[in-house]
Amino acid sequence: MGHWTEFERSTIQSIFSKLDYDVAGGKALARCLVVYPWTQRYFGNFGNLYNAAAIMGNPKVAAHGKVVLQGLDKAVKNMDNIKAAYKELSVLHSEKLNVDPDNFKLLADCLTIVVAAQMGAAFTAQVQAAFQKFLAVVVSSLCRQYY
Amino acid sequence: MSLSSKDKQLVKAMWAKAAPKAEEIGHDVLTRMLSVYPQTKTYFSHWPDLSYGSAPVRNHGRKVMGGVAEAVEKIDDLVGGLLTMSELHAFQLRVDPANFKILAHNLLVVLAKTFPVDFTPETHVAMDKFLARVALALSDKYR
Repeated sequence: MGHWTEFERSTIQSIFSKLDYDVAGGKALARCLVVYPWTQRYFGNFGNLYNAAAIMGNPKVAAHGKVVLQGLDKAVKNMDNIKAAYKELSVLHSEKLNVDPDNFKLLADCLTIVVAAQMGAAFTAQVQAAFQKFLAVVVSSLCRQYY
Repeated sequence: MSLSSKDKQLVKAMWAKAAPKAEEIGHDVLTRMLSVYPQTKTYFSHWPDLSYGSAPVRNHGRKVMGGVAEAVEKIDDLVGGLLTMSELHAFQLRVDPANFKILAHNLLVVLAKTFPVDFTPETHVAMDKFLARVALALSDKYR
């Protein structure tokens, strides 16, 4: 964990530099809420999540997606020690938000799909492997403070 | 998580778009799976060449896509319809069912990158549910 090749490092930096933080996070979160509807349990105060169209058009989902992506940005900027960078985020998710850590993987998979759709052919197997490795480290770091 | 008639409609519509590119999709899915999840290579130690473009990988991609196409046709009764496939996977291939999830994930990724507009969240959930049901049908005869 936490050891990156040059290719992985530059791939991650490149992917995130091309993401519109105002849009990509919201798309991934919306997709997660549609594809894995039980994740809606954490968003009781988000208003209308009754169907896919409502979720995709919901401004609170879009805003929160941006927050999530900004959190990921922290990992992108601290790739050599994501564990330490995420200590407080992990405590927040376990003690305050009480999020079942299985959900992190679900959101990660949705973000992978969003990035794949954006990158098309450029999302090669090697790029996918690097991206998924990065997300796995992020997820693992988020899970660390669960007791 | 059973398939509603809307799910079935979405799966069939997505598959209709994917079918003409089945060979290239199958190849992409398999290559991706073998390199992103190297543990899956353990099932193919009898192939001389696992690299992108190799004949065994192409052929197998075609086979797998054929299997999924069959499942789409038999979507109303997957357990019954995929009985022979299940016996094959259970008694001969003995693929650990955890790998069905891995293959499914890679198929979803390839659909997303190939059809970024058509692979909407609703199509995504329908395909994810469908592939989970296919995996269940495939593992039916395991024990």
